Amino acid sequence: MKKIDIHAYVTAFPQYALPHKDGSRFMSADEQKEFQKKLNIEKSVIVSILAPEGQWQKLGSENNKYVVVQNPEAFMWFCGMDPRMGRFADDTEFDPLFEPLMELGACGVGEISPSIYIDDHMTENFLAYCEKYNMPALVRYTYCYGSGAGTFDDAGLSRTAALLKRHPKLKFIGCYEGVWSEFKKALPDLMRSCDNFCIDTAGKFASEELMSDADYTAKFLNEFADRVYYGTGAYSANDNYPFELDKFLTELVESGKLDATAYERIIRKNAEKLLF
Amino acid sequence: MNKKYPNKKFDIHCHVTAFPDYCPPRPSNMVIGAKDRYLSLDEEIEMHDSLNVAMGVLLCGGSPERIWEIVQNEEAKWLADQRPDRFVWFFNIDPRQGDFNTRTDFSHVFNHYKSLGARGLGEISATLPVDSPLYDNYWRQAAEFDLPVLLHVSPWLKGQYGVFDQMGHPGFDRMLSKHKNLKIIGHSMAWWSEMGADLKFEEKNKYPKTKITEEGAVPKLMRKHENLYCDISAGSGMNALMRDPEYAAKFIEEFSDRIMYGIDSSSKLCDFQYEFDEWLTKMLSDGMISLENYKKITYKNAAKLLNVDEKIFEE
Repeated sequence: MKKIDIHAYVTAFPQYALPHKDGSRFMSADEQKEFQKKLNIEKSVIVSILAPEGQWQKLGSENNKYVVVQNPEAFMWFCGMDPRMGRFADDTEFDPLFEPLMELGACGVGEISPSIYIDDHMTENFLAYCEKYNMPALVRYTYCYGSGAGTFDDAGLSRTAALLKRHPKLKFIGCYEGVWSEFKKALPDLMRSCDNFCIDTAGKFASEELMSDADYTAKFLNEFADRVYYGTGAYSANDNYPFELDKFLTELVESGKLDATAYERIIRKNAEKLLF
Repeated sequence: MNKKYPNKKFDIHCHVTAFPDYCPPRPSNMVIGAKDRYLSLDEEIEMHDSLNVAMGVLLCGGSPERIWEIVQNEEAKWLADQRPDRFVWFFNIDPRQGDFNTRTDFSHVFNHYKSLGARGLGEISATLPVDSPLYDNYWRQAAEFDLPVLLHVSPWLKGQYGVFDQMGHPGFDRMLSKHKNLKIIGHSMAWWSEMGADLKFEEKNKYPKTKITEEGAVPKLMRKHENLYCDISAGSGMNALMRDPEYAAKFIEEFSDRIMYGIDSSSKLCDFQYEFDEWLTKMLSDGMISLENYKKITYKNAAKLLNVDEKIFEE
């Protein structure tokens, strides 16, 4: 079964892209398509990077839309918005931005990663619009203020839990270190208590957490199979961890520890249900 | 030769999208109830042609407090490459980018975009105090890399995008003193409203109309700091000069080497630039400003700062 990658980065301008510290750069569309072939991915969702904290570059909505128009068979896109946009206020009205971006074909919003608390008034106001417009919100977490790209919560993700209870119809996908550091701690309870809290597997940290304990991972994925989305989050064509994770998950299924049905949901069917 | 103008102009403040079909329309701040978007390259050139502008500086969006539409650095580079005869470009890095601390090393970023041909930084608008440690670190490196910085000033730390400073621009004063090689290009309502000393706080982000009976922070800082420039684009730059033509003539005479013409047209609905152009042309024809100073502010200063050949502006 071919996968759907819910978390990919593609630059429309590979010839000008800022190199990452290791000399690599964000992939071009062609490079991402090669990546897809190697990982048996049918379609990838190109996401935006807008918040400056912890990131060196931006990938805007227009960048993503352009790439999708050139390669509709391979990509879909999330638009980029930040809760601080517009009026930098707690009560910014985001309708004038959601409506045209949805008309342009955005199928979700993200990454949402302002370096403010997840339940900051601005963020909650913004997420209420995601809920209103039924747009999935892909939210990147870091550990704490100043620790990298992303919003953040207290240890235990209690603010996230409270926020999701206030917004039960919000389609929320948490990702990166701030979420995955709770993999063996608060995350299972959070997912049991909030049935609209989902996660994706993007990023090296998530891969490392998943691969650290096969038995625990299998148990976790079997229980929460309907709310885990496969994502790579590869910053460059050189990233190896998506291949390691792919091998790990394949072995987990072949060993019988991970249900085949659960695996199919994670790598494809959840995303199909969310996006198509 | 265009008989109306003695020379072509250099527009220091342009906003253009490489994706006019995908740029989400936004509520216009020019026409209530209307929607607009940044101009495409061709639309900008058409507008420039109507005002005898030979070259413009493409600016990038960067900070989340501001952006309704993004213009990525790579996008500005691509646009400039489509018409290198008409545009140069600045790039935009937010002081919170990268390591997000007061020791962030921007050298690899600055080197990269300079090597691609960027001539400066802008439009910088991260809503932080101008003299915050994050900005201080950023200014130091902009100065080291000899990158002029075009910035948008905000009067508040919330509710408005822009580099924040208090009444009287004390933070700018401190930073310009500390970083003597830093070249700042001031812009926006909160910048230009400080032409007169009678400014009240509630007018800081508006267009004061009073005559300049006592000088405010802008002329004082321009006098004190040779590394301070200003861009007379947008309604704010226009108002700063048009509110008191007699004072504007003195201001232009004294600071003729560091004032730069700009438009800052954010959409097709903008038309203030035509009224200002008429006014500036009349100031010249009435003898309120000299031909030499007119040339300086309309192209020579920007060409010198950004290393562009002056010949293209001479009719």
